[in-house]
Amino acid sequence: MDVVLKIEGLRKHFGSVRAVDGIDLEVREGEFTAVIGPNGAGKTTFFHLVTGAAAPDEGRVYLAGQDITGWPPASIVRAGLARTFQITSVFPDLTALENVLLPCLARQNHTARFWPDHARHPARQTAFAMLKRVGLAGDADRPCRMMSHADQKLVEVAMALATEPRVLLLDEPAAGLAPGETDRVIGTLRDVAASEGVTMVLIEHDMDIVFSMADRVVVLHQGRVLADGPPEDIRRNPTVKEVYLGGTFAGRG
Amino acid sequence: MDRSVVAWLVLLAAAAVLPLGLGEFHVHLLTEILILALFAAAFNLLFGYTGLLSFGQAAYFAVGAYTSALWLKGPWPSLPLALAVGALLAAAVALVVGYLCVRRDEIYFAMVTLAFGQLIFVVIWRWREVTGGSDGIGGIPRPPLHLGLAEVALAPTLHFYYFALAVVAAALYVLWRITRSPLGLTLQAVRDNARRVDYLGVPMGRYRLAAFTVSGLFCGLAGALFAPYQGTITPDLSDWMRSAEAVMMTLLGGPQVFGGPVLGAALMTLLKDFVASETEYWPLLVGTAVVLLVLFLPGGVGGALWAMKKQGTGQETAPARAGAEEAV
Ligand SMILES: Nc1ncnc2c1ncn2[C@@H]1O[C@H](COP(=O)(O)OP(=O)(O)OP(=O)(O)O)[C@@H](O)[C@H]1O
Ligand SMILES: [Mg+2]
Repeated sequence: MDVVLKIEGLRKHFGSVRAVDGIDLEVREGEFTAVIGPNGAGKTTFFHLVTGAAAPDEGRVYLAGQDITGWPPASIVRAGLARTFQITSVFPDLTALENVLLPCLARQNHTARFWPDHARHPARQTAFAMLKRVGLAGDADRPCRMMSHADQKLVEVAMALATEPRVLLLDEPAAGLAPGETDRVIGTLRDVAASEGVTMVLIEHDMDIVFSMADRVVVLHQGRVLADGPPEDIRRNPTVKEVYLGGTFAGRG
Repeated sequence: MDRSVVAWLVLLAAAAVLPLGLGEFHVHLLTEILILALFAAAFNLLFGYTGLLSFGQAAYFAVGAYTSALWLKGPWPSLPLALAVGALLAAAVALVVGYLCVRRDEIYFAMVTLAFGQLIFVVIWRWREVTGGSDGIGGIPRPPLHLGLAEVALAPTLHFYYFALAVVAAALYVLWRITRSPLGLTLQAVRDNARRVDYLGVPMGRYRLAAFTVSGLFCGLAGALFAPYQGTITPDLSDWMRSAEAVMMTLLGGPQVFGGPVLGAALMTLLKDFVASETEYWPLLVGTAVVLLVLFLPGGVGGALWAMKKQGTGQETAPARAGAEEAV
């Protein structure tokens, strides 16, 4: 399998905090990678650096062989790298459909068209199909702010998918959800990953989810890669156990 | 046909018939309402649709007005040309200023636009040879309009009113189309969550700049109409007080419906005219009225009407989404 995302020596310090402290990583096409690590390990900062939300102090990011370090976020998305946010981030006053329509229009370079009615744009069908894909066809016309947290998370996934990414970075898509809702969101993600062939990198705290979905688990700790390998290996890794202090890991081991 | 289209056509017909029963003074007042309605609607493309509170839109209104005045006093006095040149120059200035402002948010954006607005005010004030300084420019003509073989005089108040109505109606139609277009949706997304659009492949700064430039264009067009309407213009056109007027008209009418600023311009102009004839403290009274409205009717008069209509039809769509009554 080809390497689609390659990270070399990525580093970002905030004063004395070494949020990301030299990360090297290669993600292969079609692979489902989970990134885990305790609070403050640098997971979100890592995503910020890769997606252009923050500039790294050092290091490079390659998407399908192209150096995208320092590119503006919108260009990175256009090159095929999309993300969602740890704190759900949608357009609250737009409908679910309109939320997804925007990236569809962007994909076609139609966001600057100022004369036709967006309500009649053919991309609406694509957006609707995307919403249906995440199980929200019935909520297409609801303003996002009136939807449940779980539904908003799914809208965000649909938005990211609508950019037609090669790689999708998901920052805790199940954060703050009730158990039933977690299953729905994660189940949807699993289906989408299987059917769309998008390479996914997922930050997640719930070990059940991680071990049931991921082909590969990367453990971050204090801004560095502590361990990297198939879920089985990670589960048995003594250093990882130590970092998590026996809690979740040992209990299930 | 869309119901809002019908409503606009009815309003247009009313605007066409109304002046026939009115005296010269009131036709003049109606013309001012038209011009300010365009000014407020152009402001609201930024405020209501893109989420940017500009406190400097009077500058573009003034650039349009001065350009139009100079053009009409120049060698080729033609109103359509004066309007085109005025609007385009205003858009050009907005493009430059916007480039320097659009990265700021909220109050910082308001302050920077205010500062540039005042800068343009000072330029107009000091550049005597061109702008006439504090005396302004007087004797701005209203040359007749050439329509093929026919020639229509625009000097009569009623004729100019119809000319202004045609221009403002066309401009509002274009603005309305913009708000419903893919660009309009993009601007509303920027308003809702500016930092998010980049991560969907939409460079936010560029779209804010587009909104700022288009707003400047239409503010300039309103100003370009204002110069021949008034016949005399002075630097206070570009003063921040006039920028604040755009804000107040919009808040009065409601920024969340397309017609809100138009309604606000009408209310404010009539209120001002009525109160000013009674007392010289009209700014105080009008200001108080706006404050009360904003406190007790946050969506403005237009927003309240819209909400009532929505309740009547049982739709849950927010007023923020003017003209989005379509089904998939
Ligand atoms: N903008 C910033 N300025 C200063 N410090 C920051 C900034 N962003 C992150 N940090 C610090 O960097 C470290 C890593 O933060 P980060 O958000 O990447 O962790 P995380 O692994 O995503 O944690 P969590 O599981 O809680 O989401 C933390 O110590 C955090 O306080
Ligand atoms: Mg995080």
